[in-house]
Amino acid sequence: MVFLRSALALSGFLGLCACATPSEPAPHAYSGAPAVLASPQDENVAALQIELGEILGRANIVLGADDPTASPLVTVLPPPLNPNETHSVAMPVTFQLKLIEHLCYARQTDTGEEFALETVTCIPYFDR
Amino acid sequence: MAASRHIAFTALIAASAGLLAACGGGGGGGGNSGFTPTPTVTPTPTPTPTPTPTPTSSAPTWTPGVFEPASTFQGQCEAPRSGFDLEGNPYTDEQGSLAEELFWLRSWTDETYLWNNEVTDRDPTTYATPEAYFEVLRTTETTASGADKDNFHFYQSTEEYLEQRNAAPTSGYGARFAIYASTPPRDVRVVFTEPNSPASDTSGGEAPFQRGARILEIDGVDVINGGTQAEVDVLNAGLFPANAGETHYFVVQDVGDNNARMVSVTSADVTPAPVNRTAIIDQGNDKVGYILFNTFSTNSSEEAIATAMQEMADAGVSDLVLDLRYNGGGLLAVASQLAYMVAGDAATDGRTFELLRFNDDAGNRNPVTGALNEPFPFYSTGLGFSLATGYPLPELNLDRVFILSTANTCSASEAVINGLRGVDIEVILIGGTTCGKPYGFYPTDNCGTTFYTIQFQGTNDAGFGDYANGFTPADGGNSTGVTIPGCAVGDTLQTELGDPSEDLLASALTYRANGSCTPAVTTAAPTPEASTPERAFGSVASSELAIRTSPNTQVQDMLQNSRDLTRP
Repeated sequence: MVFLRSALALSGFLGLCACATPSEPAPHAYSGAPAVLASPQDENVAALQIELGEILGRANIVLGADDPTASPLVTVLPPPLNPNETHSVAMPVTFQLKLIEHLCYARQTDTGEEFALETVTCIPYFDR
Repeated sequence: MAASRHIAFTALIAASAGLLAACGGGGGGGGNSGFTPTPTVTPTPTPTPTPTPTPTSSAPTWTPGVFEPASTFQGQCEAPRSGFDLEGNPYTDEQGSLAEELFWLRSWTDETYLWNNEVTDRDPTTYATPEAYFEVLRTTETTASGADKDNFHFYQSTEEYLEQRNAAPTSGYGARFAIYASTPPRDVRVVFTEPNSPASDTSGGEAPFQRGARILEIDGVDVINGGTQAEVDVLNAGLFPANAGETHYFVVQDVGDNNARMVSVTSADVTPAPVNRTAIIDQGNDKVGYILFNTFSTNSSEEAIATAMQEMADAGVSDLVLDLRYNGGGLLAVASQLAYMVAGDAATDGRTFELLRFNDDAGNRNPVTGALNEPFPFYSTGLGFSLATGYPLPELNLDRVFILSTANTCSASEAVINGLRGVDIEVILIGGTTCGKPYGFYPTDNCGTTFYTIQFQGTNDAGFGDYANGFTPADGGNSTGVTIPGCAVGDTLQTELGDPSEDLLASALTYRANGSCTPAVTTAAPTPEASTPERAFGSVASSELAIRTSPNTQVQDMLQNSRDLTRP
């Protein structure tokens, strides 16, 4: 569970920062340059799917319309609807890809949590 | 490329805005996180601590009116599952007991059921199965019409639930059949066909299946009177082919044609198109748009409806006829996007498409997820289902919309009607009374059974959500539904969908021209059999010589037939 370890490590770091005196600047919780997947893109997309699946606790996920090789956003579709689910509040889960210290991270936009993607290679979005 | 880069950048900005909003809000969480409303606690003097005896049994005991958190009992199963489910996720069941399964249901109902205060608290240990107990964990109140207040309380095996939601495209022809009588004398007709499917393929001249056509014979067997089990098996095999690549022979009689014709059709894996067809109809100097939108599914409905709306915007339509007569619902988010595209930004900015109302104990929280209960806005951009996040949606900026409806217009489709009415967009309803489902649920597994209990009611920007008896056209004479302007018209299958002379569409165009439902529909009167379909195809007793489906096609059949026919 590399991702968990990384996420916990980052959370711990942020937690320490958060305990600093109030006059100190806020922790760089969301620092990092927007990123997209590097080449080889197919391998990176596959690795990304596995890591995001682990983050969400789902063995299999399907990525939505956003293209993480072209945009720093990636969406994970909710599971398909059962025919009985006719009034469903299901939404995609959106992550923002970024680079922090040469490591690719996924920031879950609805919770703000960040996860290190240790098997995924990213490049800065604006350098493309 | 510049355009796509701009879109991506816009999306990034949108996501950043979401970041700011997310900082103040609550988390989300899984479908069943075991959130428990904070109980009222009466302070009591601190007693002298006494050692807590080690329990000799973990069996919970019933104290009326006292509910332990459902999370205490969740996954404590009499027969725990092991291994992985069909989605590849590991089971997390632990050894428990029937009592714990029953107590989970009791607490879960108390925490999440919309009408939890109307459930009689019964001793769960007097029930032999969770399913039997679940049956009584509901309100027994009735609506003004005398119908049960809760018509959507059911369960299924989790294995079946997962199979259904992961079903691959079903082998078929791309035709939706209506089975008005499944026992002799049978009556099977074509309701509509999917675009680019074997059913609508015109490469051989005429499409094999046309709307309203009656199926007379399949592979040499008389559909109307075939009486032996072997004949019924042939009929089922032909109507619901098990595999792609099967060729079957049909004798069909088209509407208005006294002669029958024989067609051969080869099955394929067909995925129903969310937008089945569109049309731009000239009405004098005006253009009226028509969209047949059949599902709010996860895979492609977002992009499909946005594309259709863009077509309407590009054509400069001054009115829209939105055909939801076969749309049983799905994603509320896409329903919100659809409503936004009809009404436009000025009418919807800052307004609520739908607010979920949970039980009285939930306060401002969603009792299922534990998250803050935020309203569904009118989404103005793509959400990432099948359209890029942040992609700006087209707007028609209409102040009214015509919606074609039947009893199959349900749930998220009704949310579109209600959401638009909530921001003062006039909805003119043409067709039949809608199904009446302002409710929703989070299907929840425990120990192998997935339970559906109503957990929320959707309300619009005006706070209205009481349409449990459906929306009904004003001239329909239905006193129980919510009456809104429009005309009651039967769906008679006489004319192709999207044709301006088709009954419901023609009535909408007439209403648009005259502001009334007269003159009446010009097409043929409904055939008796077409207007009184068999109520529940799936309920036909197995002992009868009925056309039935194989297990592989049962779900599709339920979708394509029973749900269309169960409610007159």
